[in-house]
Amino acid sequence: MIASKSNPEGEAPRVGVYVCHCGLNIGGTVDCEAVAKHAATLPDVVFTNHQLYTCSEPGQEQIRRDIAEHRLNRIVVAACSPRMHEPTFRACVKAAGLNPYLLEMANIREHCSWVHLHDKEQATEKAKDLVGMSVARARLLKAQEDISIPVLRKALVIGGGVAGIQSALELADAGYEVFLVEKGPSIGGRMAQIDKTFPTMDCSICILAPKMAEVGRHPNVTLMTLTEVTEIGGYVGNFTVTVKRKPRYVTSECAACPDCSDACPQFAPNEFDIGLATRKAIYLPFAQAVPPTFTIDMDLCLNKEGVRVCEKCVQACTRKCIDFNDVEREETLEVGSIIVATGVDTFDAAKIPQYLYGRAPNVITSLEFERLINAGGPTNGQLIRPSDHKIPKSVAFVQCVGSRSEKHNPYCSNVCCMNTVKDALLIKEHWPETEIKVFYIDMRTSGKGFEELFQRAKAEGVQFIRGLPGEIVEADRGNLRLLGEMTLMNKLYDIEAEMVILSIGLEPSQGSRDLRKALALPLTSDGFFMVAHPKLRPVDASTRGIFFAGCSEGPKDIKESVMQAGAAAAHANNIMRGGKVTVEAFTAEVDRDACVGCGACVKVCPYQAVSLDEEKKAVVVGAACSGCGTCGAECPFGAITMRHFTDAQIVAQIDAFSERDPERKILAFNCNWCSYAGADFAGVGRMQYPPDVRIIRTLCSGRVSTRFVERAFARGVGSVLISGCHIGDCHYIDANRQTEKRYLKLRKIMEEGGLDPERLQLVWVSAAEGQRFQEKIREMKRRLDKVTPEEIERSTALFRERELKSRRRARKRTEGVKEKARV
Amino acid sequence: MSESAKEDRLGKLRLCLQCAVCTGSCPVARVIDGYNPREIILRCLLYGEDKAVTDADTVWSCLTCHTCEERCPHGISVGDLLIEIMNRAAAEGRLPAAIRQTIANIARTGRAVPVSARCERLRKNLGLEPLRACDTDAVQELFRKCGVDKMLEPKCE
Repeated sequence: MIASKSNPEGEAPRVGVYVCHCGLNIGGTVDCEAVAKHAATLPDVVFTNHQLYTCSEPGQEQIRRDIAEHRLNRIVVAACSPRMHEPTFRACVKAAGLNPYLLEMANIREHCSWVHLHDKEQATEKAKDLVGMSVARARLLKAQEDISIPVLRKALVIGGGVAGIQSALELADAGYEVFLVEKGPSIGGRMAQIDKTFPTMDCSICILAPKMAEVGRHPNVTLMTLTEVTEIGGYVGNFTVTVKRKPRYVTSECAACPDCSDACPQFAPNEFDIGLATRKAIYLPFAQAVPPTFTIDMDLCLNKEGVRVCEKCVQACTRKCIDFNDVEREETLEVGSIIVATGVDTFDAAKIPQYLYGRAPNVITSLEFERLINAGGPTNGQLIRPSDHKIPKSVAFVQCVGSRSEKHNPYCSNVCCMNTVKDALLIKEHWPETEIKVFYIDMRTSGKGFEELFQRAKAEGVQFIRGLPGEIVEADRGNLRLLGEMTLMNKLYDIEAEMVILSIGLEPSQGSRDLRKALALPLTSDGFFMVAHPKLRPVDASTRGIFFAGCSEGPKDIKESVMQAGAAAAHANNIMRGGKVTVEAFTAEVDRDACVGCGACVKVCPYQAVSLDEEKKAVVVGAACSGCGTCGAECPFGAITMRHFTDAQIVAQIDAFSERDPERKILAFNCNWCSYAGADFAGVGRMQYPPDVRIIRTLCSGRVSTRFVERAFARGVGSVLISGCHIGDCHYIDANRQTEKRYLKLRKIMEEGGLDPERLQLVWVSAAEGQRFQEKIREMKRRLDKVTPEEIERSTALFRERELKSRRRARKRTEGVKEKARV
Repeated sequence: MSESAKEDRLGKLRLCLQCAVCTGSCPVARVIDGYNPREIILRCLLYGEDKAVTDADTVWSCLTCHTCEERCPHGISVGDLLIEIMNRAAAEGRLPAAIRQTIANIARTGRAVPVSARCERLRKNLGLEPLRACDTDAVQELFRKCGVDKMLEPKCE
């Protein structure tokens, strides 16, 4: 294979260093030429260069040429985050005949130039350090082979709204077996509740129902309603999903005639009509429901826990479809990819008491309006006031209810402006004389055909008034008075309306929140799921093989949801099409000679991938190992090597870090998935922080051995930061629990040794929490400035002593065990 | 006010969407023409806090009921902003006549509202004791220490 073509392991390292200007992104802050010059002085570096854009084709061509010309066998690219361009440069060195794992990147953009924009000198010094650390690591890199794993040609789609339906149909049409899981009794989602869609004013259910029916009868789709996902395990291509299937109590023989529900004596508010109409205990959620099967709400039914007191529905059903013996079942699905389409909930308008929602009957929400104006709704399409069932002659819309607010949801909900424009036009269409006023902050009509619809609404006489009401008060005859200021006139208003419609915002759904526990996927600060890259990978989750469609990722209109659903299906298809995918083989390896069989590794492995064999030696099951490295961190004998993240490589980085002024610097260990990405996010957001920190990337914070931290302090480092995913969000199940334990242990050692334990910090940073990382570094810098030379001296002495002792102890113990083995 | 606190408040002000919920909720804006908290925020953002309010009189209308803050979608402390502006105006001696008079009353008598002869008569009729005189020396000392007396000194423009 490629590694055998040039076998660098036998040869002495010949490192080539490339410093990228990234135009002015790096070059504007960091003196790239000086960094390249510095790199040339480092051991084993035989060639350096600095380029305007290393990732450009000429930049890559240069690297490929140099590899041949200068016989380079290790490449360091100092540029952007490896999360951005590592694949690019791996492919580049591979094309030149080098094993792709002999490439190392120094992140001097997201972690340097972008976050130290105003301190060119220090940023340059930092870049030199980062390159030095990368070179130290690169010298020890070894060739690795990717492993190829089989992929199941089955997909799971979670959520049966329009996005989920679209994804399921696209994949099913492409020939994959699809499980479409929906929590409720019918698919259809929010789109089924809406009357018309903007900007075309299409009937929403008329365009959705055929798709619902199609997915319901598609031979490749297994539709699972009343089903919730409770657990997801496995990895790309091989996910194991546990679902809980609630009983429906009605068999699929049901012909959806209303006989049973006509007979049922129990009433409850109908969820589909947001409580504006009633349903029975046995019901069909709405006329176009798929599957077209009735369901029994057991909380409402008179028959409880097997005690049969009412049989009216059973008697009424001529097809004998009612089965009170139906029970909840758990099923396990094996799938190759997952599409998350868990949709949105709406903002609870009662949280803004001055708008009287829930207290004044004629204040309704925009979603309730959809049901009222819908011909199939509880009023047969008559927009009537709940208080007196009269059609209002004047209607006021209030925008941004619950959106664009630090107190509620800080983001713009994206669809409400256009939804209101559409709603206003619908009223005008039915009752042209109605006076309509829309109270807004900004009208956002950026989409194809949106501005035109907005203009049409104005032409029809809808009035748009800038300035939200401060409060709404009840007036005579159920009317309402809106009190506020027209900001464009600098004038107060006191306007009476017969009905007020609150344009409520969208929120992450409860389903998303529940699912998050099973998926451990990061969220952005708005509470929606976070994609791998906001621009270039807008449907991929950070976990390979999982994709997002629709509003689970952020508020979207129908068109955008359908577009994302199609893209998600296409990406899932890419993963599954070949029947196999390659993954990085960063697994653990046991040195059987060094292993004493203490079993420490077995205890901490989150995957039960390590066990002791009959010779009492640790063995790792490669396929189960995910490479978090917490076993390697735990092993007191250095008997476990983590491929591509070895102790020696990390120690080399620590040593390179502490070569220059270690007492004035902060050494950070960031995990690849959350906190490294979080620091990248700080960079992309240009969140400035002190340039005194350098980051070492590990796959998991659980990889950070106490030995690494002790090593750093023994070398005189001022402060150490360990940073990982939040508890519960760990990409390696719960390996970060070990991180916490080791951190507390180290703090205790420091405390007992009379040191300032605050010099060691732990912070959980999600991929979206750049600001949290920024704040932590600022805080640590303030503390670092107070650390005295005496304190550094004391910690250096203490940890040197400990290092020597532990080395002696390990040697003794290993010898002892070997002795015993010989006897 | 410390620089960082000032920066924090300004940071919060920058969230303002000019949605006008503050003015729409303000009980004073409904009766006092020209008093508009939303506009004061806009002026702070456009011209800076120092130059935001030239006509000090309107600011003094705020009753500090904090309804604006309660209802502001971003929880901007409009009341605190106005108090800061009032303090600053006062420090520069830009006090409206009515406020100046009130301070003078307190300095002289210890009371914001002077005790009138009618009030004394009413109390007597109701069988109440006459109001006791306040320790004006203490009040004046307090004013000196807080610099309130300086605010009362006439300023030449």
